[in-house]
Amino acid sequence: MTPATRTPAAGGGAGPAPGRAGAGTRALRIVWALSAVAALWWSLGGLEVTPERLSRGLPQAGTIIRQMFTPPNWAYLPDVAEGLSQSVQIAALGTFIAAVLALPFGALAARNLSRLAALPLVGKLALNVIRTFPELVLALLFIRAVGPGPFAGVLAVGIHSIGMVGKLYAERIETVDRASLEALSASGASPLEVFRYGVVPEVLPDFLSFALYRFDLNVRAATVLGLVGAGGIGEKIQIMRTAQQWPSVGTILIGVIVLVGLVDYVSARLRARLT
Amino acid sequence: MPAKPPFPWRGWLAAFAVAAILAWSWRGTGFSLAVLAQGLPEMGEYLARLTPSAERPWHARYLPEIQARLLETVRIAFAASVIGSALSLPFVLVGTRTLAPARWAYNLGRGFLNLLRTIPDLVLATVLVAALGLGPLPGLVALVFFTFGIVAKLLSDTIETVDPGPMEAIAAAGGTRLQRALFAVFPQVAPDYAAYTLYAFEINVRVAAVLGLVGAGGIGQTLMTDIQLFRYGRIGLVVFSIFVVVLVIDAFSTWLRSRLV
Repeated sequence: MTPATRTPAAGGGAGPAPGRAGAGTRALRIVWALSAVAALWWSLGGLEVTPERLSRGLPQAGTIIRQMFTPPNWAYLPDVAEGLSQSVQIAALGTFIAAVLALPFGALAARNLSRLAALPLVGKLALNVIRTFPELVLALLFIRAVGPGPFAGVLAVGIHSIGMVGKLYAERIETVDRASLEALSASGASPLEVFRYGVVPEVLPDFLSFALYRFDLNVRAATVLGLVGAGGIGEKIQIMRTAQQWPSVGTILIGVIVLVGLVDYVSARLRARLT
Repeated sequence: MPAKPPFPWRGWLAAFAVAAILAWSWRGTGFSLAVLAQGLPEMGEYLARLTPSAERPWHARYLPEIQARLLETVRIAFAASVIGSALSLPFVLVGTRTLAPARWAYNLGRGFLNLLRTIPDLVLATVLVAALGLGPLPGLVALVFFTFGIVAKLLSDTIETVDPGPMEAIAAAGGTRLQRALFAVFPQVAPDYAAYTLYAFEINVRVAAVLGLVGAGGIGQTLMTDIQLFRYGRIGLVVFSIFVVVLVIDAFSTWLRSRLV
């Protein structure tokens, strides 16, 4: 089993050695499983998840889901399309802002571009901090600055995405050969010129691919921003849910599923062609 | 330096398309640097009010409630991670080519999984709040679905790459599909499975922190109320505590994952 055949998505899925489990590991696994069950018990105990609540709630959920799709409110489709296209707009502009603003962060966080060891650490820390603030919380803050609506959503998506895009940029820059950068530097190129001629040509396709991947995630994010008033289809979800217009909620859900699926597909296809 | 392609019309075409999409988005979202420049001072003022100061200190008396809500957040995330990944185990009996009873069952299983994964977590949570009532229960159920989607996908993908030798040996000895899964496949992927569960847990903590913004329990609920009531000192403290909890859990879980595999 080679690591190359495995999915990299989990970030830690490199191969286990088959047949590694001896008697000791087995005992350890049982301990792990038991503590997981105990912790689950503790978690559920604090959440007031009782069989009564479930047996009362689940039939109700079933009724609502039936009302959503038998049939959905097709007359609401033009409004859904409008909300969805606004979500796409938020995602597109937000991704663009992040893709540009992440450049200096990525350069700062890359180990092979600076002579000081501290700078990349500062850069990585900054990216981590940015990533930790959820889009929705940022959206609530930007609503303070520019008022409710899609503009606040663009800013929230744009700032939050810097964290992940910057981290991917930095990791990619770190695979650029240090010797060629030093050669440029030795021939009198300024740091900016080293970046422009030594780094950019090599990493550009991958950077575009990272931006496309983030766009994919941002379209999902932009469908929920409206739940806190930051534009897109989420605002219509909120309105129709509060009004208990379930067939319209059903139409929205179908629209969201189709849009996310479509963007997923297109983004994956484009990325496959880029690299 | 790489040689230039003869005529990069494709690149130009793509750049033009991107520019057109951005212009369309600019108009549609009302993006305006002037509005931003005007609004930033107000936001700065707001942020300043969130930071602790002499007239608006972060009171220790807020801590018990915040702590309780944070605990609820972690509980939601943890329970959803365990239940969701437990549910994804039997799924591999249809979700992987090597274990599925038939091609159509495999296609159906994978199709369902792809459909499930397109539903944004908070959209699901919002709908479930309407169905199950306010509180942690709808958040938990939404994250169970979400975890199932991630872990079932990653686990199925991993199983399709494992060494088929043991599986073929059990099949040759007359073993059933379940026996093949239990004795040939699961021992090989157990560390990956644990890593995927932890990975889902990390994401779940981040999502659970904002679930309350749509009424689905956890610390987000406190944040929403505080924002609506303009309790500045508390908002700052809540945002800061979310930040700390997410960072700590992320670091711990990443460390644990690096030891697992």
